Amino acid sequence: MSNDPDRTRRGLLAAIVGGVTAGGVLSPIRSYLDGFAPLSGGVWDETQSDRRTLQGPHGAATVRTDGYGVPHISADSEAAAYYATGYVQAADRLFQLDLQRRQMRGQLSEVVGPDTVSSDEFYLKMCFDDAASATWNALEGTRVGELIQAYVDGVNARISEGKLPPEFGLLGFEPRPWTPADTLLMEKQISWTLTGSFRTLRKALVAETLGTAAADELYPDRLDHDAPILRNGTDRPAGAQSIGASKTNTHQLDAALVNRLSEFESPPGIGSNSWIVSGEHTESGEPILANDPHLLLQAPPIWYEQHIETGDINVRGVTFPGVPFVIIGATETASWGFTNAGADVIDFYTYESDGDEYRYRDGWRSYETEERRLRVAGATDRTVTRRRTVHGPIIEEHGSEVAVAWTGFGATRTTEAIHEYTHSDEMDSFLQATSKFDLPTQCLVYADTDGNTFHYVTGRVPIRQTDGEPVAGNQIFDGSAGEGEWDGYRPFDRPNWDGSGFIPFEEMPHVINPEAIGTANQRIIDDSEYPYYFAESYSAPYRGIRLYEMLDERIDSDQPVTPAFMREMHRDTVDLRVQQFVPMLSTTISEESPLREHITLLENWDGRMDRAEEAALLFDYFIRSYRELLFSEQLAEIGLPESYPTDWVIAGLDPESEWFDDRSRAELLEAALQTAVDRLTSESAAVYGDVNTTGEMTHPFGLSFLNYPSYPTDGSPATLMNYRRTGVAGSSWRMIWSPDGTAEAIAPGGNSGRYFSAHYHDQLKQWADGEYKPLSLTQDGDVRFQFGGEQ
Amino acid sequence: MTQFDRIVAATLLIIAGVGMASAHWLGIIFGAALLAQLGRSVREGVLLGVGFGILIAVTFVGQVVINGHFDRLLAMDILALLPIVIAVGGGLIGGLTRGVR
Repeated sequence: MSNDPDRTRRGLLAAIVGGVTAGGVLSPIRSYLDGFAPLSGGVWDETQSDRRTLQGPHGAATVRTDGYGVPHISADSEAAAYYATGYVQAADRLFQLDLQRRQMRGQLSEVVGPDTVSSDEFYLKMCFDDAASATWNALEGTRVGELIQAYVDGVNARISEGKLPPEFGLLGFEPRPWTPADTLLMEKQISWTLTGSFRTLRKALVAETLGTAAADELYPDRLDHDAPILRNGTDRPAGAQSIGASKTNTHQLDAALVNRLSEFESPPGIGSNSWIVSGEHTESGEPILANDPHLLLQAPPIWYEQHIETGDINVRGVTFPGVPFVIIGATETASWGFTNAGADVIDFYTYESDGDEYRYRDGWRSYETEERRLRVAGATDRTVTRRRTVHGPIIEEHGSEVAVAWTGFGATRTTEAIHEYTHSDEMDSFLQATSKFDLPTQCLVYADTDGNTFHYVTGRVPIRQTDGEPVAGNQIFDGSAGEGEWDGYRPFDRPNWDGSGFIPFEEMPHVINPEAIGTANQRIIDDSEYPYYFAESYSAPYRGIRLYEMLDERIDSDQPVTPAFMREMHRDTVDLRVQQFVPMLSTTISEESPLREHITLLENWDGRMDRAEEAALLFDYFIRSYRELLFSEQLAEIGLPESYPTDWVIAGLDPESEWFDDRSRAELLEAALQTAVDRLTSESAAVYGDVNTTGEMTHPFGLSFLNYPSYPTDGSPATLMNYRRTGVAGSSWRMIWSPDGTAEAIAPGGNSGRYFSAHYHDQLKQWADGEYKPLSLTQDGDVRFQFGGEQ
Repeated sequence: MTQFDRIVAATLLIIAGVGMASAHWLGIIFGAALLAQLGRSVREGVLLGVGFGILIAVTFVGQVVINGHFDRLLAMDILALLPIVIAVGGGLIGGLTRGVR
């Protein structure tokens, strides 16, 4: 009997020890233990030195990292270089790679849970994964395909080491092996971000609800200004548009469908600035190029900077994590950059349908259907049925459905073009490569050591035809009647890009060796100067006007253009909205109003959205308030609560417009200013830089420690120094290059996505202050990874 | 076993335990369990196990400090405590095995 208490104690302790240990091994807690255990946890790998010698199955390569964490990769062969590129991108950005791929494949809910089911359903139904596979099928076996495979091998070598960033530990999953189709999926992702627009549906819904006049007033296809990109037209072809005037059509659509789709299209603030000036107007006699693409700003940045040198190539610039080749950057002979063109490469079709089949011309066809399981962490899995017609995938809600045709569903050759850029050593070969740049439609700017420059719109823009006649693409087509067909378009296969269904490359808007040209997403070319339907709409022209204002003034002056002037333009914070709205306030609000002192503050201000300005903060609050007071209720009533028109449209609204409803414009202006003043009084912010900070750039994970620190910065969504702090977007890469030796750039954050890295946000303060770092083509820094040596 | 023997054994077991803990979190429990067996009582065994856990935690923090990441660790708030809790908790569990003997 005396042994019983001991036996009980031993049994109890054994149960505790065994139970806790088994629980740690077998329960979901294991991922936290694997991730956060001291000394062994994967999260802490990042606190250790990450320098090593590894096997290089594709040949020897060396990766050095400079003072900004930029990898400088040198190798004897391209395959070895891109293997190392894959390895180092995965070392620095693996969670970002996986997150992007999960989003595009509709697999976020598998690790995040039910919150992302709606997103996954959309991406699954859009079949981006099949488009990427079709693109890979076309590349497999080619030289570029081999290099992509080498890159993929490098990514997977890193994954197989099990050294995972902390985000994987927190979510409790490990990444699957990377595939070539995943790399092509990144091409689809950025293409969708830049060209995926449901504007046609939105406008049709507004027209159906409120009439075509209201729709045209709210969302005009063209904005009235005199600063198109190609002010003198395109080099060829010139001539009036041959298609009839486009019209706003009405269509019965479910508002919930249109509103939901708005979540998945190109977000506000996506745009860019670029300009080139010929050597004729520069101090050095050499051309100068400046580029800053405006994309979503986040931690880590959307771009990854890398420098690759082999016997054949020497290229440095940025790419999207998951893509091996430099997309924007410079070689020893040239530099290039992009702004979004806004061309219309997407159409929508409705059908006569009995649910199982749809009518297409004279016959009935079955929908191509496929069921996919949507795995949801912590909830029941779902089944998503994907349906396609001859035009593309079907998206639907509440019985309202349309098929989507998008050039990105075809096997695009953009990755080949990007690779060829790195080998180009003169303008003609660069242009030849550009002819394969099928998507996205971009305003490409180029300058080289021969003194050449050009602006060329990339991509394939469909020539829609109904009954053999070209038609505009800003309408919903009757798919059953064969309206709006694109000749040679084969979704999820290889379209005939060079056939008659798309504007020929030679006839895309372009100009070779202009004196100077500025692109800021404004209208590319006047419709009267171009024979094809090209774009449904363009961005507000504030930046485009300002850009040409500065370029023209300088070129017309005695002072030549210098790199310093390029920097001044990048940092320019003049907001032309001020010139529209402040006079409106001055003239409509009475002299006796208690708001007069605030109007005086605005009147005495130079309109620069600088961090130290109180007036800039007041104006920022005012414009937000005015927009909301004017439209929020009315847009909510038609089911499109966030679909505000541009500020250009708001500024130009007729004071008698029906949009003012039973309120006068003066009343609304006064109310908006009062709201702004109240906000200024009640909140702790005193100057613009108190709210306009980098602290808005967050990590998608939602953990505060992963977000970027808060530094005040300048600029607004309408200024050249571009920053939109809500829905955060802006200058994602500022770059200046000239054959005179100028090569500098800066990114909003840091090159590493590793939280413990010294390069997690080491460029952020410089970015916020409009400074640059060198973009040199010399191998720099200490060796981080050596491939091909002994294990 | 003399006191000297115990010190030598404890030193060797600590070295082996830190090695195991550096490879896997189960190593913290195993290391603590081995060290705990030197305890002359259950209570002493448990204290040795917890002490081992604290040693692992201190080693971990020391590594982070030496590598210059202490400020980043502190910024992680509650998550920064996880490795400490795992170390001490693992040591405690390992120490409890002394009572099974």
